[in-house]
Amino acid sequence: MVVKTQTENSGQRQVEVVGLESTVVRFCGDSGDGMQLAGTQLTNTSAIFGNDVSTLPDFPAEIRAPIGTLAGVSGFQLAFGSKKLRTPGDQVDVLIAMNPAALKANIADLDGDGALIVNEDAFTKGNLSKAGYENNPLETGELDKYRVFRIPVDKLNTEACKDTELTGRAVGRCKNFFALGVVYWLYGRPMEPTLDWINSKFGSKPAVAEANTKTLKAGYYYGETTEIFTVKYTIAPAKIEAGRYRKLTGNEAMALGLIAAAKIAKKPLFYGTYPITPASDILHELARHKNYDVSTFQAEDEIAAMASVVGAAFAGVFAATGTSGPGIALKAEAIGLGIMAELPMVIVNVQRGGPSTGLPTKTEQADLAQALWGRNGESPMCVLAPQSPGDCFNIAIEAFRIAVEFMTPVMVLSDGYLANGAEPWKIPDVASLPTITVTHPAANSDFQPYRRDEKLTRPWAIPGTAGLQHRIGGLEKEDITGDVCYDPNNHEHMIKTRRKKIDNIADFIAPLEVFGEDSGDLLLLGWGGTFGSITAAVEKAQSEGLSVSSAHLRHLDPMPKNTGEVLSRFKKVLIPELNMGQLLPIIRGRYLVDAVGFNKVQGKPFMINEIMSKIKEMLGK
Amino acid sequence: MCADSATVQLTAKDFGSDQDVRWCPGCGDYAILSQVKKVLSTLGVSRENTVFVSGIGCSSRFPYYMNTYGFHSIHGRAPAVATGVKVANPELDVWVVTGDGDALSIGGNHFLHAIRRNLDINILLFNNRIYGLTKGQYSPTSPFGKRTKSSPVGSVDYPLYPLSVAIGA
Repeated sequence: MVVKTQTENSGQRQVEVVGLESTVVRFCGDSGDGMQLAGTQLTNTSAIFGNDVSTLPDFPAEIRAPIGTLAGVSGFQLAFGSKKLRTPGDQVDVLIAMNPAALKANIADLDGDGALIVNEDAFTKGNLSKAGYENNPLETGELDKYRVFRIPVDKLNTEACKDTELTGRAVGRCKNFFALGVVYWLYGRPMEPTLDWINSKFGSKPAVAEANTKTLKAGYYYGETTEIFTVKYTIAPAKIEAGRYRKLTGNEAMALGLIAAAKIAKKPLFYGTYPITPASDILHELARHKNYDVSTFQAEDEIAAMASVVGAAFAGVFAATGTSGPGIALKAEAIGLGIMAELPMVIVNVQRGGPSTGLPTKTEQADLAQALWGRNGESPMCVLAPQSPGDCFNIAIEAFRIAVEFMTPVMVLSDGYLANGAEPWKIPDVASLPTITVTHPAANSDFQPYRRDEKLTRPWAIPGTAGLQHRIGGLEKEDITGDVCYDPNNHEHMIKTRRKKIDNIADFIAPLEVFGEDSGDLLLLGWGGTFGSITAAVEKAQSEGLSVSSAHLRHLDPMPKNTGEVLSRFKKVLIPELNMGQLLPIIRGRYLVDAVGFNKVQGKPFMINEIMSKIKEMLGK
Repeated sequence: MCADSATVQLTAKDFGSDQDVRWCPGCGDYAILSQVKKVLSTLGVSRENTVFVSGIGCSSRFPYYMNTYGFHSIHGRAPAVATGVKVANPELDVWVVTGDGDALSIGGNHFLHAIRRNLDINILLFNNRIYGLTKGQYSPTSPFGKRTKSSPVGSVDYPLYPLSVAIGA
């Protein structure tokens, strides 16, 4: 939306300056072109500038797919604006394509009025053919509906770096910053945050720092002085709640949340894990924070990682692991052990496209059924899901709170979209964080391992405590004593008790909130990472006068106690999920409502307009 | 924390739990249990700072019979569980009790890496060269040609040698 238009002097000329409420930019190129870095820099700079931001990194699973091919295209999309942004945007306003393959893979997402900036040097016969173009799309007229800006990025970057010590391929690696410089000019962004970053990142490599500095500035001045652009844009800072903010990805937020939970409870944090996309960044973040009494253990495999977490929980620390769907599959038996032993631990599943190895770098919500039922026997476990990158922080604390209060493993279903996506995050006041109280039975106290309190929680007696020596394990236990027990009635009692204990958590969680009117024609019920898209679509529908509300589940087992009551107040219920419908049959079965699913499994988040169309279809509009 | 060792000299019997020992009559595991209790009583260690972690198999019933902290975990994973215990609280004396199937077959990977990490834990491997709990299939240490329920014409695999594996790790 255009806010206002004016003119300003740029270099030797006058340009029109268009004020926008928000915009969507996507950088795309080869996976070696530094597109993620360019996108991240624009994100950071916009966040520092005071805009709201929402990002969608999209990269191939291969570290280096063949150069110039469609398989190797890496993209980074971000929206920034002066208003609250719930998603990284459906359509791209400015697309920066560094080669023909990137153009081909991304052009369909460019808005009809959008601007296309291409690195024309990369449109060689060889690259065109690798991308499957018979003719150069820059010459055929097929891009005429867009505003196309052809820039010889390779040549200009080489020219900018010519007086530095860098040569050959090292020069080529700087070209992302030339493109970034152009975008900085286009949106009137300050270069200082990126210049500061260059100096701190490449402090020990002055030649690299110099080249990147020169090419960033060259890009900026290119925009300013050449007459290729007649328009530039401004986006005012967002009016957001006062406070200190930082940019945070979901994985960073999850790591900080785990640390915060342990700190609140005055416990060390143990994180046992095995590297897996897209969860590894949680390990990387935690490994940097040993000063907060964090131990990270990179185990020999997923199973060992889970087993170590069970052992660490037994020994009395806050224990957590992070992985993705394939890792959860391997961990299932050891998670069952955690459930049987009734020990507190947090298991983070950063979901990705499946089944099997699937789409490691793409997002999906298809592990809900696995989380709820993916173990042998009746093995109930608390399952939570964050709804935004920043919410990963809150959910990690909530997970540990429940784990400790109820002596149970808790699974957190994040996803690739939340994990890699970023948003400005208000640094919370420590005093405002929830409290987590941990109690261990005292030495030589009257103790039975499976004697429960009113919530059905058993005591957490830890090794090193005199007089409380006890043995636990995966075999069924006798009620109260915890001794191995094969009695049929005891088994059924313990099965029911473990389920009832998880159900009891519902008394200690927030009720399901409705966004919009409390009743009406249609309720959209979502969970996890789809929150932004669903809420934005519902907002839009409401602004068009439709009787639509939404509610979002952060607690999936148990669900908030008022869930059925909320559902009953709407004539129709729509459940959008990035899977084939896993929440849907639960809601239909448990609450006997004729809910309808809306499903997408393309490894990509919902677009606002997709949900909007479905809303209209449901309402017969 | 060390109430036991500071106040009283413990006997072998003090390390025994109240549970009935359920190995088959004549099993060599009885001798190991009795010897471990005896040795612990001479080391000046306390019961509450000692943790026995086991996997699955006859040997892995061991923790139930000790009056220490114990964790009867899942098949092959005891070294990984023990790693978590030891990292969480390095002050504890951590023991892994395992067998030839548990440590060298299903848990071969964890066995190797636990030794490689060298965490100051003890691993007791009861090598009876057969799967006892599941009633008589050949194990990774059964000799070539060993006739069992699952190898009626003799095992076609050559055995591996636990100490060589340990040294190799």
